[in-house]
Amino acid sequence: MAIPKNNEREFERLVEEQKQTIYTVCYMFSNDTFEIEELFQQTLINLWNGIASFRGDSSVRTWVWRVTLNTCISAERKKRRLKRNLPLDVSINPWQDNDNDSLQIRLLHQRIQRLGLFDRAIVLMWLEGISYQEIADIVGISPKNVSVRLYRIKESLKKMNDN
Amino acid sequence: MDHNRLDTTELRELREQLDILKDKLQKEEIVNRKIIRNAMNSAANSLQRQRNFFVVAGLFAILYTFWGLDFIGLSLHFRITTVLFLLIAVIHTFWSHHGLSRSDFATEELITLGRRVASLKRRYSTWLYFSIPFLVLWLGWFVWELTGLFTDRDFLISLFVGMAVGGIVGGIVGINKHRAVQRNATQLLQHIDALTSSSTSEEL
Repeated sequence: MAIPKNNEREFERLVEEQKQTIYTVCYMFSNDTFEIEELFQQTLINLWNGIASFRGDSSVRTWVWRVTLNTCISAERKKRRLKRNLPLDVSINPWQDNDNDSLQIRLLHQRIQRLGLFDRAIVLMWLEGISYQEIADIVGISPKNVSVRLYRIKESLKKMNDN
Repeated sequence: MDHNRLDTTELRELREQLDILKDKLQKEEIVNRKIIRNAMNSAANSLQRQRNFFVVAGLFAILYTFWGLDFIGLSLHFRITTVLFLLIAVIHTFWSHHGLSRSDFATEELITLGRRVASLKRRYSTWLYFSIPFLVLWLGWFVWELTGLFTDRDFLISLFVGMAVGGIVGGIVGINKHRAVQRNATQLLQHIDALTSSSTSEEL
């Protein structure tokens, strides 16, 4: 079956616009470079599969967040890497670079990784400035519940700092 | 409740660190045309591959069981039972994966999808309660049929040793996989429970 040309262009544009968000989320759910590559490319596959059925009920940003988080949370962490994964065009290595900025990024990664899967998702969206209503729509809980979770996440982070 | 009320030191620090990551990523290409093309091709092929695999595996199992086992000389009852088991296994697999297609990943809420993934894993576990006793009985039946067909003792011993080694290796791999799947499902459900049971009466 032929792929409509306009979908291809739309997809390329979407990936170009959202690649940083996708990479950041995949990074926060990964433990090494290969895992980022696997999650990133699986996310692209899921976005491509969904682009035809995306009707614009939510914003593109909300939809991309939903697909990316769904992919990361549902991913079964297989030790075997998919051979078809291509290396991403990224010169930084968040696990090995030793400049001060990289250390800060690693600290962020460590803190986020200590949270549960869904808490990780919620705090990432909150840090991106996504509204409670949007977070609630993506996760599937009420906005009130989002605020409760965020309060608890904040307490967890405080305890991490105290320790 | 707005964003500012939660903007404490801990979260401010996280936001600053996230900004550093974003700054770094802004200078990076991240994706190229090859990666995008690869994703589009993988998506189209993957759906076809999944469907084709089940069709081919189902057809092969039926053909092999009916004509292959008949060629060896195994009974009609044995062959029908084996075919039925394989058909149930294929149907169970289809049913377990329901609601977890690639397009579902693009539309469903995190919790809904998380629940489906967890229940997929539980269904796989439940399947073992049926399939393992069945396979033990099936194996016994298979051995009984073979001993009735072949009288060469050495041939039968080598056949059974091969089956035993294969069974033990397969069993160990299967148990390890099963335990890993169970752990993941339990963890995922715990996260969902924690998320959905947040008390709304808590004052922030």
